[in-house]
Amino acid sequence: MICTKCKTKAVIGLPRHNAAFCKGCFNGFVHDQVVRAIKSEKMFGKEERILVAVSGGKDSLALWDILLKLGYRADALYVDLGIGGYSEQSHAKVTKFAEAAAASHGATLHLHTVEQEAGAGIKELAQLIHRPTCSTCGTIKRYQFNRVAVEQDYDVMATGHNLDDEAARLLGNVLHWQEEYLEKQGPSLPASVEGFAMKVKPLFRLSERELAAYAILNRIDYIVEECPMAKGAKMLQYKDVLNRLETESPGTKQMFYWGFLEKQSKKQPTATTMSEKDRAVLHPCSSCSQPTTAEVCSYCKMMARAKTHSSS
Amino acid sequence: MQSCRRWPYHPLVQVQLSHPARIVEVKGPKKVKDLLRELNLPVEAHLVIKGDDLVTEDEMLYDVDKIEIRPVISGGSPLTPHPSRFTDSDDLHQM
Repeated sequence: MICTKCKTKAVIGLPRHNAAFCKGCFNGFVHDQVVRAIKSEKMFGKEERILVAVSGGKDSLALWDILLKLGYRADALYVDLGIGGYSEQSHAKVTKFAEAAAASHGATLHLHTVEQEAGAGIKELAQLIHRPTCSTCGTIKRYQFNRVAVEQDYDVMATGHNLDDEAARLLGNVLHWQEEYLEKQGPSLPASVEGFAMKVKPLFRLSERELAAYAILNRIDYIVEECPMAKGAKMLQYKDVLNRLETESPGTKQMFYWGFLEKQSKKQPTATTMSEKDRAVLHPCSSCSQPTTAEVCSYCKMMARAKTHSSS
Repeated sequence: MQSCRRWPYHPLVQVQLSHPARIVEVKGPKKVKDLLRELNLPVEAHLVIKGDDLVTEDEMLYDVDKIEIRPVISGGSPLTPHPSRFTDSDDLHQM
């Protein structure tokens, strides 16, 4: 296979773009896709401070790497979930990247350890509140990333969600006709109310395979093992179905998700009305002041139960 | 496809797989895309690594080659929660 741009030996073929690239041209392609995402969705500028949510996986570390190489001011936050050896390994990968690559750009790594605050790891917390582990994980990560972004005055919070993540989530929402969630499936969510950081997904134009290739080609040492808590997760099933379709019919995932975004932009309300809706139902949590629809937010409820449990 | 070495020893393509981690041996020469098809592994969900480099689907694998087929899929994060739990900030600002 020959590189579409420079005609040297290619290292990866991209059927959905009817192209193949050598390492140098592939890096250029990836950077270009991220720049296009940032500009088209008006995510942030070169002067703004970005907080990247990193997990030790390929997507988040690649995102941090790309933003720094593109000259953005990007720090990162890692949340240690306390999943035994898996968390130890992912923590080590993040620390290694921060010291070896990010520090030279003047970037900082923040750390939050769930066990230090809650006295238990994610698995025990999930059992305590009778919710699936992945759901509990999501609650903790969203809360902590938002908290650090707001408290430390970051302009925007960036996550490593890619095209596969968004297409799989869209498929899940459509299969269950959860129309009320479609409005917030865009790659850029405004800071709709006081206490919410703006959230963006600069990798939404890139597939999971492209990001893994970027990490491997750029020697980013990421955690390859799947989270032990994710076994059997519906997201993985949806991704598998979409990848089988994509292999047979290249471009399926981007047509599905980008097509959805295009339709949304034509008929959906603007960010302003999304903010208006949020303002109508949200108020500060009586315990921590983060926005919630309830008296006390679900994170504070969970921590209260954890503390009661550990003291009994 | 062979799963263990035969005697007398003949070199084969060694393939490292994940989930679960294991090594299988296959008879070369064989194109990468044919190997993935035989193993029922979608191209879109995997990368093939030889040494420090990625290998494209049209490349030929020969006996004595050692490769890794790395899955690229991750993520157990939840889909949007059920509307009955649409009760707090986390749910309203799903990422």
